[in-house]
Amino acid sequence: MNTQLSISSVVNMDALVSLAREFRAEFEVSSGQIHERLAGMPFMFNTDGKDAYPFAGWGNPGGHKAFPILPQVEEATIASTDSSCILLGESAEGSVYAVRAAVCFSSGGGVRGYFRVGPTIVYLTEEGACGIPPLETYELKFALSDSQIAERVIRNGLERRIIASLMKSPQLSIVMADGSLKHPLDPMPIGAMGRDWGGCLIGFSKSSSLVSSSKSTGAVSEARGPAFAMTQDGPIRTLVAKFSPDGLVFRLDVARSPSHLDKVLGLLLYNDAFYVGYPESLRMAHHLSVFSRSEDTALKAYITKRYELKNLPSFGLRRITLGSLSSSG
Amino acid sequence: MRILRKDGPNILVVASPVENVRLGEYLVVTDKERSLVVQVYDENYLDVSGIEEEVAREEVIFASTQGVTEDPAGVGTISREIRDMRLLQCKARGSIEHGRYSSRIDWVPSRTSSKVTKLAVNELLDMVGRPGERMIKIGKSGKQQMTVPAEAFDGRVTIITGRKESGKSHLAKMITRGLVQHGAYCIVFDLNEEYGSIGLKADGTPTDISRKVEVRRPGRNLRFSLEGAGLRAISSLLQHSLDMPGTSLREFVRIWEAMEAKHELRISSLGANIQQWRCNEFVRDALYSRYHTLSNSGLFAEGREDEFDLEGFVRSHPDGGVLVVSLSRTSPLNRRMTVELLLSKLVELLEHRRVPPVFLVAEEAHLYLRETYWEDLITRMRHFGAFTLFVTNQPDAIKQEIYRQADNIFLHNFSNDSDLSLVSQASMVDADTIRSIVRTLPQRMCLALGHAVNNLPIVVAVEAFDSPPTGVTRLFFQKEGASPRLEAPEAG
Repeated sequence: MNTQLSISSVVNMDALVSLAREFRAEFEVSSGQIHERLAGMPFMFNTDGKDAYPFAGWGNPGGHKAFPILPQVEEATIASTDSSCILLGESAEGSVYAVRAAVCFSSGGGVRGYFRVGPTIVYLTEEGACGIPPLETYELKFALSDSQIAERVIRNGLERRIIASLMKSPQLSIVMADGSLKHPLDPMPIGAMGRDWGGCLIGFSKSSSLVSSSKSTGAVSEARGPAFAMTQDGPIRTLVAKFSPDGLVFRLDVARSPSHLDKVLGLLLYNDAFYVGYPESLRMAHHLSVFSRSEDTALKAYITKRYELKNLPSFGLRRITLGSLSSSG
Repeated sequence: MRILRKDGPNILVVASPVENVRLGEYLVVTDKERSLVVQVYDENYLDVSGIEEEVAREEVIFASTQGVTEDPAGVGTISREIRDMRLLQCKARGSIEHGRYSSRIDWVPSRTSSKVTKLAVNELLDMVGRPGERMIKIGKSGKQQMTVPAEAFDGRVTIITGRKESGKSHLAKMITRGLVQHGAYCIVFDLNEEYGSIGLKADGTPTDISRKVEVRRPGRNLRFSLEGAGLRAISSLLQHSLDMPGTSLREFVRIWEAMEAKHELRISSLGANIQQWRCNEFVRDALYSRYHTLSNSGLFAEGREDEFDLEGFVRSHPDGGVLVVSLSRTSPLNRRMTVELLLSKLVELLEHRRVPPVFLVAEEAHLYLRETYWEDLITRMRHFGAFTLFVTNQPDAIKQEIYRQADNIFLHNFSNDSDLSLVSQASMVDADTIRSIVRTLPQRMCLALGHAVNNLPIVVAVEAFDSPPTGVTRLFFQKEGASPRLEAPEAG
C-alpha cells in the first residue's frame, strides 16, 4: 500500500510555482539595481552582528571637509552616563530584569569620580512595569514582545532619569550618554528636560551603521588630528568626530548646545581623557554598569530568596527546535 | 557545602567563603541513613566564567577612582561571596552506616539532598575504634586534643620525616616520653644532644620519667668489654664497621677462641695475641691495624666490671626507661661501632628473652647505621622485639622498601618536589593527599598516616615539647652583646 502523501493532492502547487516565477523575475531586476549602486564599493562584512570598524579607516573623503577640534583650555566638569540591563528570568505572567547605571565625572583631562546606582529589579507584565516609572503603552507593548527591546526600554528609562537629575547641576558643562539621541525607538525628550540648565547634552554613538552612513566620515577619518564634520543640523545636531590623531570616528548627537559646536567639542577634548578617540568617562561608566557573571548569579540567588521563587528546570529552545547544525541566525 | 562532582574516590565539594574548612579536615556527606566520610586535600576558587576580566576591571576602576555605589538589594555582597566560593577537593575515605565505620566508598550520595558537614577527628576516630588504650598526647587536630595509642608503635616501624626545623624532634621526643610513661623501654641514638633533658620540663622541674632517663656517652660511661660483647658482635663490628676481609676474620675467630680458652678475653691481651699468632704477615698486619682502631676508640673497657650492662639497665628500671646514647661528640667511626655493638647486644638479649621488647629511636640513622642493618631492623629484629622509630630530614636516606613496610609515617613539611614525590610514592595513602597537604604544612604540623591514626590521614599540630631547650644550633650572631663563647677542649 502506498503510504506516501502526495503534496499536489492537498496544496495548490500552481500558485506556489507562480510565486516562485515572480521571485525570480524580481531578483533579476533588483540584482541589476543593486549592482548599479553597490558595485566596486569598499565593503565591511558582518561578524556575529557586532559593530565593526575598518582597519584602514573609512576611506575616501569624497570632497567633504573636516574641521579641526582645538582644545578649549577651560576647567569644566563632564558627566557621562551608561547603563546595563539583563534578563534574569521569566514567570508565567512576565519577565524579571536587573538594571544598573553609572555616571562618571571627568575634568581637566581625567576621570575624577563616579556614582553607581543599582542593580535594581524590574518586573514587566501586561499590567505594567514594577521597579521603574510607568511606561507608555507602546513602550510596554514593545518591551513585552522582545526581551532585547525590553532591556533597551528599561535602560533608557533609567538613563533619562539620571540625565534629568544631572541637568539640575549648573556646574556641569556637558552631559554625555552612550548611544544616539535620535533613536526612533527611544528619542530623548530634550525639550522637556532641564530647561534652566546651561550645559549641553551629547549622545556618543559607536554604532558602525550610523558612523558609516555619514558621507563626512571619510574626511574626518583622514584628518591628521582631532576633527569633526557636521552631518545634520536641527534641534539635535548630528556630527561625526574623532578626538585623537589615531582615534576612531564616532557619531555625536549634540543637543542644547549653547555656543559654537567647536567650543563644546574643544571643552570635551580638554576635560576628558580619550582612548582610541573614545571618552574615558563613558568607557568607565560602561565598565561600572555592566553585569559580570558572578553578579548575574548573585542576582538570581537574590530574587530566588527574596521572592521565594521555585526553580523551573529549562532547556535552550533554539537548539532543541532548530538542531545543532545551524550556527548562526 | 554541597557535592558538585564525584570521580572515583575524588569528590568535589562547593563551599561558601564563610565555611572555615582547612586542608586535612574531614567532612561527612549524610544521605539518609548512610554517610560518606571524605577528607579535604586541596582547595581552589570556584571557577566562575569571566572572573579574570571581572577582577581586572574592578582592580583598575576602583584603584584609580573613588566613587559612590548605591546597591539597594545588596547584590554586591552576594556577588563577592560567589567570587570567593571555594572548591574543596576531597578523597572519600569510608562510610558510616548505623553509627559504624567501614572503608567502603562504592556508593554515591545524592548531590541535591545530601548534607555536607564537618566531622571532628576524635569523633571519627572513636567511630573507627582506637587500636589501644595507652594514649600519648602529641598535639591538636583542629581544636581538639590529639592522642595516639602507644600500642600503635608496638611491634611497628615508624618514620618521622620532614624538612629541617619542621618539628620532627619535638614529635619524636613526645612519643618517646609517652612510651616511657607507659612503662616501655627506649634506646635513643641521639646525634644532637636533644634527648638528655627528656625527663625535665621546660622550667627545669622533673617529670614523672626523670628517674627513668639515663644518658650514656660512648668512650666515657658507655664502654664494652670483649667478653661482654661476644664473638658475634665483635666479628660483626670488624666485618661491617672496619671492613675486615674474610681471611683475616677467620684468623681472628681462631685467636678469639684461643684467648677464650686461656680466659684472656681482654682488649689489652688482644694485641699481644695477634702479634704472637702464627699466620700470614699480611693477615697479621690487617688484624693488628683493626686492633689499634678498637683499642684507640676508647669504647672498650678492660673487664666486664667497667662495661655498660644493657640487661642491668633494664633490671634497674623495672617501670620502663630510656637509654639516651649521646653520639654528638663521637667520631663517625666510633658512632658506627657503638651502634653496631649495642644493637648486636640488644638482639642477643632479645633472642634469649632476657630483656623485654625495646623501642629504638634513631635520628638520622643513615649517619651511623650500616645499610644492611636497615632491612634487618624492620624484618628480623622487629620479630625479636626491637621496634624502630626513624627520624630524618632526608627522606631519600630511607629506602623505598622501608617506606613500604612502615606502619606509621609522620610527614612534616616538604616543599622540594623530589622529596614530595619520594614520600608520596612510598606512603600508604594516595599521592594527591600527600603532595597537597604536606606541601602546605606549617612548622610543627604533620600529616599522620598509618596504624596510629587507624589508616585515616590526619593533620596534627604537634605541641611544643615541654623540656628545656637542647640541641639548639650554636650561632655566631647571637643576641646583641653576646659574643660566641669558647670552651676549653675536653680532656681525652
